Amino acid sequence: MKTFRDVVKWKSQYQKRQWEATPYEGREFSAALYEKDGPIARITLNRPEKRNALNDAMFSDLMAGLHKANDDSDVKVVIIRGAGPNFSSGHDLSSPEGEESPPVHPSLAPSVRDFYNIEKRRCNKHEDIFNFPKPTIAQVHGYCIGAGMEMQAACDITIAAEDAQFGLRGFGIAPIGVYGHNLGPWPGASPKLLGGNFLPELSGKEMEMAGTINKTVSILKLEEEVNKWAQAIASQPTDALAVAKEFINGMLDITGYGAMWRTHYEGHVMIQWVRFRKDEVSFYRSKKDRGLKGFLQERAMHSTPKKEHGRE
Amino acid sequence: MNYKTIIYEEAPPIGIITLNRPDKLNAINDLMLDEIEAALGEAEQEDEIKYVVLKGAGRCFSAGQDLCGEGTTVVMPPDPRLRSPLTPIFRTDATLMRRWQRISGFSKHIIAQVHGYCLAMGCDLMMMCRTAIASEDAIFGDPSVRMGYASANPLWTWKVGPKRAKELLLTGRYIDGKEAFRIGLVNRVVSGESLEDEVEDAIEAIDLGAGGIGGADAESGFLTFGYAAHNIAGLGAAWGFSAGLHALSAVQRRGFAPYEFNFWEAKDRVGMKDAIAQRDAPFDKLFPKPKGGAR
Repeated sequence: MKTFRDVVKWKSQYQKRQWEATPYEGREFSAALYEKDGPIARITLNRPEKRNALNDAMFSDLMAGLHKANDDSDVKVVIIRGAGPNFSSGHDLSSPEGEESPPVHPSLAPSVRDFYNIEKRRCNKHEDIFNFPKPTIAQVHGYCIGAGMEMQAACDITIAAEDAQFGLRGFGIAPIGVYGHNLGPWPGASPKLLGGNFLPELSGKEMEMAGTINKTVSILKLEEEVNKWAQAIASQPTDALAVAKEFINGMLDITGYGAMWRTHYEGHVMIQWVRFRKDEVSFYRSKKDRGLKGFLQERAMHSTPKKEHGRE
Repeated sequence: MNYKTIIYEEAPPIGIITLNRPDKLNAINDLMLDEIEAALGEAEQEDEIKYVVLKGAGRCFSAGQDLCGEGTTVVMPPDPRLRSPLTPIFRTDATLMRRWQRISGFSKHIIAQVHGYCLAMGCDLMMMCRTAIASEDAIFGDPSVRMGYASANPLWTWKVGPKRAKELLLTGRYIDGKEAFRIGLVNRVVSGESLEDEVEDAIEAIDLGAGGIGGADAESGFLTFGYAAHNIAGLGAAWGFSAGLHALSAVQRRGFAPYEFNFWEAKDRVGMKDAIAQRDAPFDKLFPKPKGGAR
């Protein structure tokens, strides 16, 4: 029987910022594209046929793009967006075993230490986006699910289409991560809205009302609106932007953001010990027996009917 | 006591502090912070005073810290060109944070009554108050980043959360009273004509509530323990961090690339008013300034 060590080729010890560890020189960007427009860099998730599901290739290009934007002193602000009809549908659950994106199958029986390292790598990519030295804007339309939702939450500013569809579609886990903190104890937010309504989908408009994203506009005006915000940030003195972002992030760390990233990957580690009852949909069992499509169908049948905001 | 930059009156159970530099849009200088603290001291000593209202004379609440450079050692980091030694900078920053803590942790309920501009340090001052009631024509925001430094007020993230704090502080955008209410920056927004009445009504309502559960002592205990809870949850450490940041913005080269607008240079060249207009012009095109401000 294969073990964890047989399938996992990458170094499991988390060391430095992952964008910093991903080289961009001579790279041909494909799963995510990088372009520069004066002081604005755009990174476009580019697997529209997979609804921009995040796999290792896409993360790698995304991280390299951030690395490049960091090193380019012309760039003052980074926009992250999706090609095609969606922002991102989350981790690619069809990725082969050994990639970071799909959940590790329990039969591989990784040690707890290995498992911590996988989840640290997986979750801390978002922390690395959060702590990226230049301001980031997420431009969200269509589906923004799971890890895609996490990614926009880690960006400094999120501008979305009114009918974008946010949500988490679990496979037997509780919703954990940044959006909890984005709602949490803040008087301006309304935890009730999401509290009673988390696992089903929320529209961009509802997310805006809850205060977890900054603004929504009609999808026809999305690009124009995002460019306006990018322009406003790019017109600021570079040094002041760096200090302002560092100050706010530092303040958030004091109020628990740092520990929140830890609870995020610790929560992921706990997924390993989720036990499915007979009448529940097990991701692992269902995917093995019926394939990924079969799992998605089975889950859809068991979950609350989803609201149709996004584009297929 | 005789004050130069504020007026302090008592109309028990309310003590009223009025920022009183109307010709300067109530710009905050060191003396004004001193005098606010002294007036709070007076209010604290007087048992009959249970609430403090903080408001601005003339056309607005306050347009922010006085940028003129005189009598502003505490409220404004010194010009980096002066190459000040560090010790006085650390001392004045500690003073500033102590002043904020004195207001935000005050043992009696302070209500900010906000009309017109409430910008930069004016906005900081408003946020230090337990409650804020604003008129619809109020304008909030902190354009510090446009002048090359960051707001050193720890309460932004506490009041409005991470996304909104970044939105406002990374762009310096101005928002009106309605939006300030929607994002949780103020407790209530009312029409300009009824502002004063609404503040009185709110105090009456708070007083009735406080009376019902044990009077001013209960209210004071609530403020004290509530503040302690915030300090335990991180605000205590945040003051120190903010003091450090404020010191940093004094000594750092206020870095501007050659193609970036340098507010300080513009102020020396064309004067304060035009420099502010030049500073805000590119942003007003992207995000039109809300109606209101100083009329």
